[in-house]
Amino acid sequence: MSQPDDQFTNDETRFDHLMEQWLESSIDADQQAAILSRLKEHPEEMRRFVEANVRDQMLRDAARGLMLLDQVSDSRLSLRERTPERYFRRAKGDNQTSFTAKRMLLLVVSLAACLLVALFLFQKGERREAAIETFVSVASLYQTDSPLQNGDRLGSRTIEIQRGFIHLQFDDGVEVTLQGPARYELIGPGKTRLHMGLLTATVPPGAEGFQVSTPTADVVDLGTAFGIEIDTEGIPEVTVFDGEVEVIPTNQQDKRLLQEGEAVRVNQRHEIETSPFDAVTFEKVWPIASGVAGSTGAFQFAPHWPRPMGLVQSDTDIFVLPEGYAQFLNKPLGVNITAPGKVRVAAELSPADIPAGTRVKSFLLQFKPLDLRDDRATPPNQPNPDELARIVGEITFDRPVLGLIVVGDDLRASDGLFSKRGGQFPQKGRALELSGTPRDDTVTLSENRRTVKLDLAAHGAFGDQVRVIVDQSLEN
Amino acid sequence: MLDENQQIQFTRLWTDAQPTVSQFVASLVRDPWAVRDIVQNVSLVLLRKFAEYDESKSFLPWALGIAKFEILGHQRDAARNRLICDSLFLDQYTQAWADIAPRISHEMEALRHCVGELDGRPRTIIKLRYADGETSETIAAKLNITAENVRTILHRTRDVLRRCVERHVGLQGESA
Repeated sequence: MSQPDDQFTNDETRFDHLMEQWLESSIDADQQAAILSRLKEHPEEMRRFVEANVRDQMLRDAARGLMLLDQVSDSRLSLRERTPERYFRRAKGDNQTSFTAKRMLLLVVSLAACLLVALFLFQKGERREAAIETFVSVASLYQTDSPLQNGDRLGSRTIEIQRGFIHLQFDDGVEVTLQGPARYELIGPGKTRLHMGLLTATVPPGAEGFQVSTPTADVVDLGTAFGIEIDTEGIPEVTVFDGEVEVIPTNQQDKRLLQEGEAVRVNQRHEIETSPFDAVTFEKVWPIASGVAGSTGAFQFAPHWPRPMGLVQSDTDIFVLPEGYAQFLNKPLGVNITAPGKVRVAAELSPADIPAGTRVKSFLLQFKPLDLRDDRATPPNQPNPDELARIVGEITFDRPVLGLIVVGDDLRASDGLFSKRGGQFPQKGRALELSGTPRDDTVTLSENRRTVKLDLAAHGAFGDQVRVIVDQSLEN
Repeated sequence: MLDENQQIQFTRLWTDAQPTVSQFVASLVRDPWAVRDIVQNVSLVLLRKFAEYDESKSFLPWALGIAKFEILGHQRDAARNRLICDSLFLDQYTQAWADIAPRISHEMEALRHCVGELDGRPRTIIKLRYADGETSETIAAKLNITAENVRTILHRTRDVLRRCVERHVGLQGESA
């Protein structure tokens, strides 16, 4: 007599179905739990399960051999097509091939095939990246279990992390940040697949067409920043922070153009369903996706997208605002601090120009306490010392800082280049006060040029802003 | 440090066991790079501990036992951790593998031959599923058929392969 809690006893088909899902890695956590408890209590099922796994692995080995044979066969065809002798024959319109030429051709093809097989056998088990074209660099890692390291060059391969974050930079400037647990496959330049987990992608102008495939849809970028999260059922949710993406269900029956501030899910029936825009899902990814390696003290990350560039006010936080995509400077950019060390007075500034052609990314660090005056429409002429607020924090970037802009004129001059609104709303009183008194500001650039420490004093309408220009060159 | 005879013996035993150990690890850890790392670690641990190896016992269960601990130590396969981290399950799985794999490993050559005889869509689907590691869903999308169709074709193709292997293994047995 069957036990009520024994869900498989009379349902071998269901067990086989679960086993099939396990073998093709499409089993979810609940199903794993079910199959686990079943297997532990039924040794005969365990033996059937193990035998299925052994046979599955044998079939994988056989199928890989089959693929190799087909590749060799394709190579032979390709070699035949490219043989000059064949060209020559075509050009002359001669359908007769000489016996000797044919034998020579066969010999060359056979040697090439042997060479291919030998190369494959030699390389089996070795690190294949050396032989594979690389197109991605690991820009940074944070609290992850991945064996990858900063600066590693990657070609076609799958990245799997259980926790933490990996920030990848493609050679064409596309940046992708993974949040674990995640499984992400690099198929080729501009072509990737998210099997599970969460990512954000930032695609600068010129790299449009970047594609992330998911179990039910392909997401094709049209110049944008977007995020994808795949839930436990394998259903992707696509959220667009900036620009446009095209979402194409894998059955190719439909597609939708998504704009900034929109989100959709593509269910297992390949139907596109509108979702509420919720950027909070991606909150943890933003800092590392932007190139911030860490921060201490008062730094608070303001979301990338949509960018709240209006009145971001807080008595307790210095907000970090990443300013758009990495870009090549089309003319020299004047910055005020380029040398490591502490700056307390204007005389300690180390101004210089960052040369045209340099690839940079900009971050605006802003401390602006709450303005509690009754008449906020009219800014005061002078700061009121009684309203003074102080704040200290350190922020570390994953790439070297090329320069800091802290002088009002230079902040305004660079607004047009980096600010999304192009500096059309000039802000008053935002430069640092560098007079060396206890009520003034100090800024420190670390020796390795990656950490900026701010010790700021501000009050009401008179906030403080520092624009940080970070090296974003594509070479590592 | 192993003497020359021990080194030769280790090489022989590990060469025989390595394909089965690799398959065992790959059945529990999907990332092929992680599999490679784990198997490499297994070979190093086995080499270091080879002086402790009891020659009266089979080498494969010992190697699989080491592989089991390496998998537990690795724990990078998020999707399968629930099973991998359950030590009772892993013990039973490893013991069953050590028992079953050697009994059917002789079918490998016949399987290669039979897979090579496949043609058309079954050949394509077997390659996508087993060589590329695609799911039924993604294969269906590529071939513009339903995932259910893919599963049906896979099921039938495996039946064809099973019959083909049985035929070939039977023939080998007769000629032996």
